[in-house]
Amino acid sequence: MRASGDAMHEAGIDNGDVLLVDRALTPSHGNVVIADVDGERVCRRLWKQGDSIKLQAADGVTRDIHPNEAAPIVFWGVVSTVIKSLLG
Amino acid sequence: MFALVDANNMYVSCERVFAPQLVGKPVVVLSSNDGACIARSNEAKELGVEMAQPWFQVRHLERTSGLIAVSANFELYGDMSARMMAIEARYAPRQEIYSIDESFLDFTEVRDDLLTIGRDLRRAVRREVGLPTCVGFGSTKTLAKLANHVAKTAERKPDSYPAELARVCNLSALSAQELEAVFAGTEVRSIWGVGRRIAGRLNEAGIQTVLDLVNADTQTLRRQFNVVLEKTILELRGTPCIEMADAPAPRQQILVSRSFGKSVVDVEGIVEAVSEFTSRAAEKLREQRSLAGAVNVFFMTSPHRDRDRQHTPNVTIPLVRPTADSRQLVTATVEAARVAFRSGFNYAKAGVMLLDLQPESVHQGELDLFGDDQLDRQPPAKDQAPLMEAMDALNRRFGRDSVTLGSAALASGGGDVRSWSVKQERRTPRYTTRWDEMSVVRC
Repeated sequence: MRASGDAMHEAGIDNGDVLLVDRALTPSHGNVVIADVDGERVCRRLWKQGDSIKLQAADGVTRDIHPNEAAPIVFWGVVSTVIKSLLG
Repeated sequence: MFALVDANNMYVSCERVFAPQLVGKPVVVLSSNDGACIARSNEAKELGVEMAQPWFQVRHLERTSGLIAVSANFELYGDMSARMMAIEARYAPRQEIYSIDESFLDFTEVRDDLLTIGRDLRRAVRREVGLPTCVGFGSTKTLAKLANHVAKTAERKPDSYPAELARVCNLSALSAQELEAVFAGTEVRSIWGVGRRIAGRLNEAGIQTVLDLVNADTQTLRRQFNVVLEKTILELRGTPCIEMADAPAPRQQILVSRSFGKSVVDVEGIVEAVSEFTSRAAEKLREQRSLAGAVNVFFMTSPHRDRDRQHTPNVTIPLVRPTADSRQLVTATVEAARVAFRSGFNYAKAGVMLLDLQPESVHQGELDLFGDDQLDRQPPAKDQAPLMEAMDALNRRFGRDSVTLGSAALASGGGDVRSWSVKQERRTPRYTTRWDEMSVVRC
């Protein structure tokens, strides 16, 4: 997948980077994940303690995503690798 | 024991893997030229959209009911199919691909609990490629197919069959009474290989359900119908007698595949097989007066030769314009085979599938709508019909392959199979096969 946006810069993912996403992995606390929330697909870091989960951006500014009944978090995969272009 | 694994609403499900906004919405996939609905999500079925219904008849639902239509993206579906088939193959000693979204798995001599295998398989396909499937088990292919129908219907319409048969259904695990109830609750037209015409005639003869057919007198039916129906009845009673080679054709697709007597190691061997299979498939295509909008080519090494390195290439190419012309079809499949071929492997089997089938008549009516320059470069399919007819007639009269396409024709046949001149205004990106059309995620 190709990344669009800057909210994951501090996690090493910049606008235009190519992400290798492994669908077979089970997302665990601290993983950078691809997930669908309310019909939109986002790339965020997974925060997970017991049954409680949320999706956090890496920039400290963008608001956390909390699942609710109307908009559950549906995991798509775990980002395993980032490919960067050095030529822009 | 056989399993039939089938993706639910395959084309729509492929689109949904990369477009989460389509999940839960009524979605249809349109054939080449955006003519007819060739796949429907369950929500679209609820709206009353019929299979193969012309788009103009349901177009108003876009405004009134939020129906979403996308153009067929066969390059995506073919690639997703290949990934799905590879996962399914892990679960059984033998797999036979039956269509773009279905494969038979042969569990003969497997002792493990089949329901558990079925559930694991479903979960793996869902998780790894994102496609929902249903799995049906039966002691014959016809029963496996019926079990799959039950698994699907029970999932979509909760009051149709017992809830525990939804998604994964093993007819062999049912008691005689339960099986009878399933047979009694299923109409004959849902049976594999029983077409609309035969179903109508069976109904006239008082045979409405699978149970009626299973209990019918085979001798009497044999006189009224044909040996194919007799085989179907035997299979429903649990006697396997349908080989893949003479299995009923899948809907909307033509598949020709065969295992090689001796493994093929060079590209010319693959090209020869693929071009022969394509010619045969094209003949079938013309027999049913249809055109194909896309071709799929696959070849594979033998998973049973476990010392061999394994390779299972599978390529789908949408055509510039739907055609029944062997030359154009062979050009496309041979190019696909050459691109996918790698040396150093012992290939054991190959196949060609014609996809996106549409009636010849519909397409001819639409030809005038094309005002683009492709028309000059490539004569309309219609003009080549006499040549193809002559070829088929010669082959019928003097035996198969009396007249074939020479390789010279291939080399110079140069139809551009990569470009997109067909009207496909709503085509989604080819997410999995084109680097520059990769799926984008918001960060």
